[in-house]
Amino acid sequence: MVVKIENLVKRYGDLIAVDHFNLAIEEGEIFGLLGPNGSGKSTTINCLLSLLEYDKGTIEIFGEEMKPTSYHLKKNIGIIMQNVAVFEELTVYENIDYFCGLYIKNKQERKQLVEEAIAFVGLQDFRKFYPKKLSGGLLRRLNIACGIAHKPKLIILDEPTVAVDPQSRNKILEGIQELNRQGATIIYTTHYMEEVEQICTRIAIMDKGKNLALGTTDELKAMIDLGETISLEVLEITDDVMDAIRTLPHVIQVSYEKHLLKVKFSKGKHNLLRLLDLMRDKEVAFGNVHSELPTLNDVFLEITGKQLRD
Amino acid sequence: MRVFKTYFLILNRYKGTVFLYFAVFLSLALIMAKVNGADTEKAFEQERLDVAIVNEDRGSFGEDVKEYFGSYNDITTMEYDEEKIANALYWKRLDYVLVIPDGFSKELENGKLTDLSCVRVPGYFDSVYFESELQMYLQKLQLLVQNGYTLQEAQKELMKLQEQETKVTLASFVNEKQGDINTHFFLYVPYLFIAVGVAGIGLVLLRLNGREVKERTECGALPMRSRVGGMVAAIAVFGILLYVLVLVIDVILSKGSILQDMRLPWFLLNMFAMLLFGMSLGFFAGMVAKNVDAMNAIVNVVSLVLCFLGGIFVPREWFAGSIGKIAKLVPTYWYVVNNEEIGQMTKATSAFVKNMLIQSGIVIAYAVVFFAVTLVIISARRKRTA
Repeated sequence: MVVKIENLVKRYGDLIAVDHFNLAIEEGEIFGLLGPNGSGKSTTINCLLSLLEYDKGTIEIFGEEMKPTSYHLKKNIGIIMQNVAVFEELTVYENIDYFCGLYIKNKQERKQLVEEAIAFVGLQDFRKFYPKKLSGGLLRRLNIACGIAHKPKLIILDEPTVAVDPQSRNKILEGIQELNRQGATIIYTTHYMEEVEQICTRIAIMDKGKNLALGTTDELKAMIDLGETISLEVLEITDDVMDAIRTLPHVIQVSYEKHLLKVKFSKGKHNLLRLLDLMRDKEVAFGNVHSELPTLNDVFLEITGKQLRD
Repeated sequence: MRVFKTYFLILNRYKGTVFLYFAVFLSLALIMAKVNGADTEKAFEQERLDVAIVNEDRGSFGEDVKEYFGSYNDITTMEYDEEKIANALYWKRLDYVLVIPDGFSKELENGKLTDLSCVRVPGYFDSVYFESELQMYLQKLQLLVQNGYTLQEAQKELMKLQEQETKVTLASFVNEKQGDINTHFFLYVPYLFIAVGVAGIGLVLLRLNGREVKERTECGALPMRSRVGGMVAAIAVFGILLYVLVLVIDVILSKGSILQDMRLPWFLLNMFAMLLFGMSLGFFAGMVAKNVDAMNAIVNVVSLVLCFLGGIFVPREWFAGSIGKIAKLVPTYWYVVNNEEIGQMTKATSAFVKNMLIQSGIVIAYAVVFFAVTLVIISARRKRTA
């Protein structure tokens, strides 16, 4: 077990930021911690890293209790925070060298690791640049390089793709997968469900400091009733037709807004066929038809009653 | 070594700012040390006025006046031309124009003093002063003539008196020793220690203690003891470099005489106390300032206010009443008092040593207070974030 959190409680006055939170992460996982802003993800990470004192519970990393002075444990942890944490006064190389130097004392070894990190994030042409001269995406890459240069076994990424352009985002996500392939266990917190679906092997959904659901993407989707959502472009629809749709098997919800008819079905077969037959019988003209499988947002919506990005 | 090395890497990026404050200090110290540190007798020089004489008289008086006042004024002769005179006065080519009417010498030889006319800029102090001198000269001349001297004899007598140089002793706040180049140079050291101390320490600490960087550093495997140790070592080295640099400059400036000066240890003690204060202020500013702009504002305001109130940029005797009392609340005041006492010192009497220790102690106490307050702030922040 790489990380084990049991009954973690963190309060800020009357506010309970983390509420009896439990988590176990195995070696080699890319573990996604998914939740909206303010759900307690960052607080949990800060407790995990001993940056915050917590009120209750235990945290173990690599089988040992994590304390602020557990420097032998910290040696194997890499951290990439939500906000870019670099010195504006140091060049790309000097920044990576400084943060790598917090773990690696040997100058020669460090030099090699810094070069590898620069190559890994693709900043070879920018090694003498100061952070102010870097674009947002390059800056994020520098932020990542500073966190992974010492080749940690556990890498914690706290929303590393916030305000990053799609190209840099893809580069970052590919990098994370590569780090995982090289043997690192990853904890990835985000409120972007697409990213979690793309790279995470297991996901915990968090809200109001609680762990609401845990499992693989498929396992999480299996936890909810929603099977599929079918959308049809319809110019006009009567209440009779809407009522007829509601009587179809497996229908959970029907809505019509801005010429778009949305019908949510629970798990079952032939939903699309039945809906199209009904539309033909009622002589309702329709345009494009889309069928969507449930997303993590649907999972989140069904579990919490609100959107992930609320 | 990590934090130590990084401290100087960051400082290197602020070398322009640090150099600017250093240049201001050096310019001030060198200019003022040269000006004030010069021989005090040379420091007094009589004001020379540009005086023109329009001599319509045919006697010797015009030449006598020229001779009498010419030793400490620039005297020329000219024809009476109202426009020319007005122009010369307006453009300050002349300060005073004396018009000697025809027959003036003859009247004077008879012991009579007729009025002289003059043209001058109204309200101009120097010309009023010259006129008063002229009146005194005329009265003396008249007195001598009335007592039997001829006009030529009277003039000779007055010239003899004129040649007797009046020794001018400037009422000064300092004595001879205090007027030396070392004392004046060291007077400006607080500006350097405060401005460069706050900039050089505060700006770097501001970066090292930035929230994101600090969190990442705390996640690292470098023990806090090593980090704090590295930072303290870097600050200490920075302070020592600054201290040594000041001393080297003074050695150069005094052509090495400071090294044989018995006052050196006291100068060093006084500077050391101020260095500690400057560094503690830098430490404090590095923790409370939010950004570089705020830090620069702190540097400018604090260094200037402390230097003015303390009596570095202006003599502290200028501050009377409540401002004088407030001035005693700033550590620079006690540094200046110490500096003056060291300047006057000929022997380390027990009273002198006692004063030195108490006054340096006050400056060090300020340093300790700022250091302690900063530690309290750090502790409070840690509790708040926990």
